[in-house]
Amino acid sequence: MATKDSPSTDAAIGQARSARSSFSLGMVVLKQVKQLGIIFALLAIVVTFAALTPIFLTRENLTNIVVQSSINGMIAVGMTLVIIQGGIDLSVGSLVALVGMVVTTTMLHGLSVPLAIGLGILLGVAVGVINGTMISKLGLQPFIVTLGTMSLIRGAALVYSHGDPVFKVAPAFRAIFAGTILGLPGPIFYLIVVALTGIFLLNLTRFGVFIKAVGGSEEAARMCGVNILRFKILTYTVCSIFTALAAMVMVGRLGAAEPISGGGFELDAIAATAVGGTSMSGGRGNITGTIMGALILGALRNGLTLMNVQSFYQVLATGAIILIAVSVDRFTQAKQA
Amino acid sequence: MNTETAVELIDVSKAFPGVVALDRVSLAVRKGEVHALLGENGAGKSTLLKIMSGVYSADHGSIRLDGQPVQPGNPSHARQLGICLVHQELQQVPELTVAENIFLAQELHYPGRVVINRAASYREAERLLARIGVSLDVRARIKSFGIAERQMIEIAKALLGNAKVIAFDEPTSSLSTVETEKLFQVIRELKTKGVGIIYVSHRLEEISVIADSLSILRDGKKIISGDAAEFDQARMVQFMVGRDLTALPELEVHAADASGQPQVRREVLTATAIRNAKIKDVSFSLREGEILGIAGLVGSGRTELMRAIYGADPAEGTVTVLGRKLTARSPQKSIQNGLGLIPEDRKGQSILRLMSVKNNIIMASIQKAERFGILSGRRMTEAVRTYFDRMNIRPKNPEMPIANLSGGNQQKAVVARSLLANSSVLIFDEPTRGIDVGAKSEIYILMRELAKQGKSIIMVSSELPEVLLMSDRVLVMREGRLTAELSRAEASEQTIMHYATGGK
Repeated sequence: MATKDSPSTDAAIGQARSARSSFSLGMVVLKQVKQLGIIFALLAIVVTFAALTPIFLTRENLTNIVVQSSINGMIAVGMTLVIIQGGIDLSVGSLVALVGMVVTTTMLHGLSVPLAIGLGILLGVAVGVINGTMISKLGLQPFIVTLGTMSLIRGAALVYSHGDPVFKVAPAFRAIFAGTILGLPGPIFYLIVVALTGIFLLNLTRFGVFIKAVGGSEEAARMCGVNILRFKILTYTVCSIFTALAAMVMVGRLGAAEPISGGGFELDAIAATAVGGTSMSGGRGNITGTIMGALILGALRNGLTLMNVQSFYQVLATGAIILIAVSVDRFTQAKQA
Repeated sequence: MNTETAVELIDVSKAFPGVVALDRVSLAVRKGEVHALLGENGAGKSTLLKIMSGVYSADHGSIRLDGQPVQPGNPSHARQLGICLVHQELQQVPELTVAENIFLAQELHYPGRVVINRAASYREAERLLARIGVSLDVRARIKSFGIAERQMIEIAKALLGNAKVIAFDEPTSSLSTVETEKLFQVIRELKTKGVGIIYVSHRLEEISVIADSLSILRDGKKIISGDAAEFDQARMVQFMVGRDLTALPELEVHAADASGQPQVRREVLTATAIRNAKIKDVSFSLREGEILGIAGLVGSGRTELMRAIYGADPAEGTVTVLGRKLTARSPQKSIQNGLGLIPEDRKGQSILRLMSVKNNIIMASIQKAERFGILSGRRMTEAVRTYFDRMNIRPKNPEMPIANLSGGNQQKAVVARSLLANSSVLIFDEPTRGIDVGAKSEIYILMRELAKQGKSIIMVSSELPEVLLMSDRVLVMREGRLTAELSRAEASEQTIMHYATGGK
């Protein structure tokens, strides 16, 4: 015991510590570069399109890009939380359709606008609780469960609407979601609200810490006393609520709802999350990256459309961006390890 | 003894960002000898083994196998060359069978090299295992076995092919005394066949038993090489830590023994009729300020009993902590009621490997850093800060990823987690497994301190010297049952082994 604090050991440990801390400083820098990397990627796309087509860099078009990315961005924030927690949610696209149909139809039948909005959110809660409960309580794979509910919800939307779209949406509802709020277009406002909520949850609450803990080492988190069941259900519920909100923004913007809408939205949201640098195996990720990811994908589509590039090529370009982004991510991860 | 060199490393260096892991290390291992490689965690032993087995490539220096320069490019290349590594962290596929794991990437085929010959793989796997005196169901999946058995399987895999050099990285860290002796027999058999063996272990008492020669590393440099006979444990430790530290024998005796009579203190934990698939009707109690050792062979149900009590696995029976009966047990409930568990499997069940040390410590009591549901980084740091000094966690950086800490410091952080959560009863499952000598004695001192402060401790350990050193009372388990309760005076290696192996 007396030898524990001998000067020679302290010196040795001091050396080791300084070596270690410079190592960790390097990692911090790398992390920043990674964050910066995605900003550079976004800038590169903006600069390229600005050079290629004069309309791209106008205020209207830039606003347009953000508005167009907002639906995906909102869903992707929820998706990011689910993925960090070690899961995945494939049911979001179908939920967009179901919420759209239920909200518009009930308003047509005389339900008041606030109640319809409440109903939409409630639908999100219900789907999230079902997904989360089956995954955590029954111990089923998230991929399979949400693949099932994806089909189930899509089916429900089709059955409920008899496959018919609704083209009449109450003006008050449209004003709430697509009108101007605090000087911002509605979709952008809600995107900011959702993003800030996501950032708050992930970084400033117990919920966020537990999401990362469960995604990184579920068994260790359980041994620490984390109620895995409850937090999984909560995560899927948050994701579904954000999705329901996105659905209503979409309905507000388009002034219509279709039972087949939202197809492929789950993949767009996963793409934005991946491009944003969130690890698909869970445990780490961030919301700002995801928002950047959604904007990159949005800007790419917008720019290519402005240049009259056939939409087939847009699909190609999206795929390429995803692969490049995750490769870059992998490279920086390897450097850290 | 054969004087030919089996493997030689010449001036091997390796640097990682910010750390020189190996600095011009040279050493030679003769055919048919066991060469022990010693050093504290972080001294460079693992890096050296990984370079030899092709996981890393050296920045500088060369390796000679049978006098020929070789450059193992990857682990399977190293294996082909005849260098095998039995890993500390088991590298196995849990969902595959024992035989499939042993023959992974070198499957036995029927002629035509398409269809796998299962019958032959089972037979061969059984034969390999028989060589180390193990018989188990080679058709069963790896995940159905405990760590000790998996290690044996790993060793069997290393025996496959004509290995010229086999490196053992902490092979006995989870083996019982009997199993260790079995392993030594295997190693002696390998020696007679002229295999060069590199043996890394933190259990110094093993070195004098099994090693012929040894090298000691410190901070990436080789400090000394020589015949094992020239070193006693004190001298080994001295070279390893660069200071004179006679860790174990000088630990002060527990207060209860100093006065010569056990004091009657209140019971803080009682377990009554605990049973599940692995545990058969176990009851015992723990007194305040006591260190209760749980001994037994690997597989005797010690860990399972602790998990059942903690609520990590379902079990019947009742557990009472500080007078409160725990109903519907779960880890969460246990923590709320002052019962903490420091699990055996540090990597898998204990540390949150992607998180900072700070988050790891605060994990079980995160509500302490909350205000109106919002976490404050400042409060988190404040809550954990004192533990860095109190537990001597190095480096003293709360933001550092816990994966970058040595095993001993990780363990201290996990203990801090339980203390911060106000646990008054602590279960340590193999508290010093894979931890180097210096940190080991720190953990011992810490446990003593905690007991003195009135914390009550249950300690599961496979190391008999550790059980004897630390325990005020020892419970011995065998096949899921308690077979003996021994006072400190009654407990000895002989009595414990007697009850652990089936004596009445």
